[in-house]
Amino acid sequence: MNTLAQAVSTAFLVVSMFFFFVTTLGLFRFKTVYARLHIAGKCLTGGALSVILAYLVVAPTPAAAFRLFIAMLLLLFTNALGTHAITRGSHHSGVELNTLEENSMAGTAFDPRPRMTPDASGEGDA
Amino acid sequence: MQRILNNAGFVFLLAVVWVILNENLSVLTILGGVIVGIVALYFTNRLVLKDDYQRIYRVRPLMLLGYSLVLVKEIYVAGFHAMVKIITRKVNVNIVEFDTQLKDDFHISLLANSITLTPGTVTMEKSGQHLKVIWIDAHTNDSAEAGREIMGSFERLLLPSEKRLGRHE
Repeated sequence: MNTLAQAVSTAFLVVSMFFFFVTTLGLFRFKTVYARLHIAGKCLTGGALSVILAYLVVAPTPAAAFRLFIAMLLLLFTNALGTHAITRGSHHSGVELNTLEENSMAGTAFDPRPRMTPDASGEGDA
Repeated sequence: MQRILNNAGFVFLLAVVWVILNENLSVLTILGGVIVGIVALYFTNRLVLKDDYQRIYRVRPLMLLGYSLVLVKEIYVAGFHAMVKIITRKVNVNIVEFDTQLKDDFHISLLANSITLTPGTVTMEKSGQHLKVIWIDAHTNDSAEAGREIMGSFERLLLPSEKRLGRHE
């Protein structure tokens, strides 16, 4: 039983890593505001949900499992609210469908553009 | 006092959360949870909602349980679908608008937030029954078809619950 729980937990962790990897990849790949918003929202719903489910399966005590469950609910609620608020805000401030995201770090050492190849972006967060 | 008794269920729920977060099942903790719950409910009723909790958040708990299971399933299905779209670069971001058949404001908010949580769709605006959604994989411009595809399973679950409560405002 214990081995089974650990196997399920590992499977969830692998899924979450996959989600996070594709999220990072997508953030570098797409340049428009709305496409990036979509992808950033996916990071949490897919990735963080999987991480929490992975630890929920192998939680040592019922109390710990309940705490994880509450954390999951909180993440789900706040993620939906945050994504919606940002999207609504950008729509009201006149962002068009094909508006490119401004690069506030252009010209600094943190400018992500020179390192935009997929495998360099994958190492960052995955 | 009467209003506090009316909200006994919510106070109980908040106290349970309080006890879980404290990881300590003593009389003092439970009492603290109940008091904090009452205070929190009083302030939200008074300052945020300007109405009663029970009147606004009226849903059937069993329906919510089934609904969250469907939601988690939907998140994974849509998530993997969107992953493929990102990897193959086949995205077509567009705005679609459609109407929902739900009438209750709280149920529409539930629906809109579920749409936001599902990867690939983000609710942008809601006015009455009209929803404006950004779709990462827009392959149809027809409002009715887009609505059916985006909110199909959620609306099917929410409609009977709303009807059961008999709310038409």
